[in-house]
Amino acid sequence: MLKIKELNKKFKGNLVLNNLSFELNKGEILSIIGKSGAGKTTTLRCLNGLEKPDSGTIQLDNLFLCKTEDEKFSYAQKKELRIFRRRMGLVFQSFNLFPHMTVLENIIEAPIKVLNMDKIAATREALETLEIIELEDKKDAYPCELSGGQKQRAAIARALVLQPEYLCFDEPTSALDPELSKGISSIIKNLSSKDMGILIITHDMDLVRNTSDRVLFMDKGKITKESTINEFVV
Amino acid sequence: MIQYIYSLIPSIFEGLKITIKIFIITVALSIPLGFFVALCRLSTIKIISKVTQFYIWIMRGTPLLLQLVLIFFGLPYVGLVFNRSTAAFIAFILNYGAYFGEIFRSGIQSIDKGQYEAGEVLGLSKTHIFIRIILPQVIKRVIPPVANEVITLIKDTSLVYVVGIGELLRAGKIASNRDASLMPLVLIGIIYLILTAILTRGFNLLEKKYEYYQ
Repeated sequence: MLKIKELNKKFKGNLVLNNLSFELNKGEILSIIGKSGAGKTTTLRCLNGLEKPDSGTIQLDNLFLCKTEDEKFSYAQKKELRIFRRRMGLVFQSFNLFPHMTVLENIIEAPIKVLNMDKIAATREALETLEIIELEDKKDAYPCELSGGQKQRAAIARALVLQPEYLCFDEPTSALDPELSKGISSIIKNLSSKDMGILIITHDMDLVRNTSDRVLFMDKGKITKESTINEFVV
Repeated sequence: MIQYIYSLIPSIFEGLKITIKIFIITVALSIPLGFFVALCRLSTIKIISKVTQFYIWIMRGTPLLLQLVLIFFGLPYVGLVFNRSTAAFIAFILNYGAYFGEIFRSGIQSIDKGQYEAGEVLGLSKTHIFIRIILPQVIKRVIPPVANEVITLIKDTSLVYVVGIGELLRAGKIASNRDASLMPLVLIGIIYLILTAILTRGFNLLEKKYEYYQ
């Protein structure tokens, strides 16, 4: 279980995360919605080690990314951070594919380096992942040759190949037309059915309705309301 | 006429050899130096970054001709004596190292932060991210400004006359004065044009090589 407890983060005196707490189970799809500036993206960035909170606890089972104990805040060492990152994936809003590498090269870079796979094994894994995501025909294309939806699927494949237990999506439908948004919904649902925990940050109510088990409303850095998908009406 | 030109060839060829030698050694050493300068300039250790900034300011803020003169004629006063060509190499490498350093720095800084973050999230180390993800993209971006600088360098090599080294332009000037003719200088001009044409072509091919992605 992914546990976030009393997370605080200030940027230049502005409180961006204010005692933020929530939990995410494996196999569950959780959406966080809220206005721009509510702290949603900062939450994701903290969860992925791109931003250090000022205090609070982020815990994946019994592995801590950071914790506050007796009012003392400590952050993971390099090694723990690396393990944490292996178990947690992130698909960026702007995808951030490596432009000088083909789709396949984008995907195998981390397994070779992080999981110490050899190139053949990594390629095999990558091709399997591309098949799930239905992008195997673009394996030799460069990112600039892909459409928005294809770029996103390449980015998802790049995160999936490391077999994370939890995967975060930052505004997954913001760059897609409505037809493609349906595709991403089914990909996300498919992942959670394989016991992956999914966290989505979005403005897209259709996406929330189509995928999520639970919804959190975020405002001024904290959760203001929580509802199950059945209670969720917008 | 043809015969006159023919008679100039040996001395011009000697000068050309010197020009090319200075050019190649400067390029070969100032580009790695520039890379190092860029890393120092971007260092999070303040003192390193400041010292590098000072060095860049001195090198870009004074004429290369002046630097040549000071290194060859000035440093002996503080006990540092170099022969002509060593002094010339030092001046050229230090000067061009500063320019290349700024080119590489701006190239590194122009890469989107998201590229680093994508690497980090995948668990790649900082060094690995820099070498495998950032650097290849930097190289593509800096080719045009580096080409500019390299073409300037081939012409700047003529400045070494000031410490008494006989390079291409000097060979032409000597012949021009001796024979009261502009012909040798025209010839030298054509040789410079040929050299720059070769370099331009080379850099165009290099740019093409990196065109496979955007």
